[in-house]
Amino acid sequence: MSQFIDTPVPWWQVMAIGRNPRTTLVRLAITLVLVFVGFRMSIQPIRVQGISMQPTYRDGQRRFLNKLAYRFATPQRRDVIGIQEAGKQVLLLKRVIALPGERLRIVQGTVLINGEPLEEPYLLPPTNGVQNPARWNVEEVQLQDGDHYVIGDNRSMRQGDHYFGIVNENRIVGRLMNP
Amino acid sequence: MIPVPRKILLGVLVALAIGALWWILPSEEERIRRVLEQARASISSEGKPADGLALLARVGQLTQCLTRDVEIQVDVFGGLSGNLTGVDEVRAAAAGMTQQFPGLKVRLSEIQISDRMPTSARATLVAAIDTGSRNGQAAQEFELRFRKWEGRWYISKVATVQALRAR
Repeated sequence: MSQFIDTPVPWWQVMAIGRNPRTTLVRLAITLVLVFVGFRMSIQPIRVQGISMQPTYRDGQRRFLNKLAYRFATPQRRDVIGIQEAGKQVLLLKRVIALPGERLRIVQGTVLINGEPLEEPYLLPPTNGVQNPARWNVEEVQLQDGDHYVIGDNRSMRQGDHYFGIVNENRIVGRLMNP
Repeated sequence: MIPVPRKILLGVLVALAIGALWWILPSEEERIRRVLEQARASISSEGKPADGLALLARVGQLTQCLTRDVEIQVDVFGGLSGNLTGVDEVRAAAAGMTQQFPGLKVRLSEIQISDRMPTSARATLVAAIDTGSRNGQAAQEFELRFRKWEGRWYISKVATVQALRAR
C-alpha cells in the first residue's frame, strides 16, 4: 500500500512559483503568448521622424498607435493618425482636418471646411497676429466617401516641402494613443 | 549504422520530389516572384561594385525582366522623380545608378500578386533601398504590371504608390 505524505510547501515558494511549478510555467507561457499576440494586434510602437508634426510631436519621440481605434469607429477631425506609406513599417503621422463628404480649402494658411474657418489649437501660437506665416493655399477639394484630408501641424514650413493631402481609409493604420 | 525507418525515408523522398517539382514546374505566381528577384538582384550591387563586363552583365540581367516598351514612373515626395520609357532608357539609367551607388542594396518585401490573368498580372511591393551612404536608406511602395510573352513573365510598368494625393 502506498502512502502519500503531504509536505507543506514553503510560503516563499508559493509566492514565487506557485504550488506546482510546472503549471505555473505553462500559465506564464500562455499569458506571455496572449500578451504578445494582443500587443501585436492592437498596438504599434512608432518613432517620430521629421518636423512635419511640430510643435505637437518632435523628431525622435516615441509613441504608440492604437490599431483597433477605427475597427468600430471612423476617424474624427483633429485625430492624429498613422498612415501606411510603405508597407506596414513605414508610416506617416498626420492630423485629420476634413472628413468624407466635406469641402476643404486653404486660403492664406486658414483652413476652411465647407466655407467655415477651422479652429486649430494645436498650431504654433500666432506671431504678430499671423497664425500661419507660410500662408499656404490649396484650391477647393471635395472629399469622396472613405476619403479624409490629412495634414501636419507644422505650417511654418514651405508648403512644397510638406507632404499632405487626401488619404483613403484603407491606408489608415490607427490613431495615436498618447497625444 | 542506425536503420532509418521506411516511413521516414518515404516521407523525405516525397518532400524532395515535391520540392524538385516546385522548382522545375513553378506556379505562375512563383514565376513572377522569380522575375522580381532577378530584377532586384541585378539592381542591388550588395557592396560588389560593377564596371566593364560585370556592369553590362548586370544591366543585361535587368533588361531580361522588362518588356521593350516598359514604363517606369517614379515620384517619391522630396526625392527622386521622373519617367523612363523603353528598355534602352532603363538600361542607361540602371548603368548610371549602379556606377553612382556602388553599395546599393535593394530588399523587396510584402510582395502581393493580384489580378492574375493568363497574360497579365499586377503586383505591389515595398522596396527598401540602401544607397550605402549616410541617411541613404528609404522605403517605397511600388505597383508593377506584368505581361506574359512566350511563356515568360516580363515587367511592363513600374509606378510608385503615393499614400496621399492632392485631389
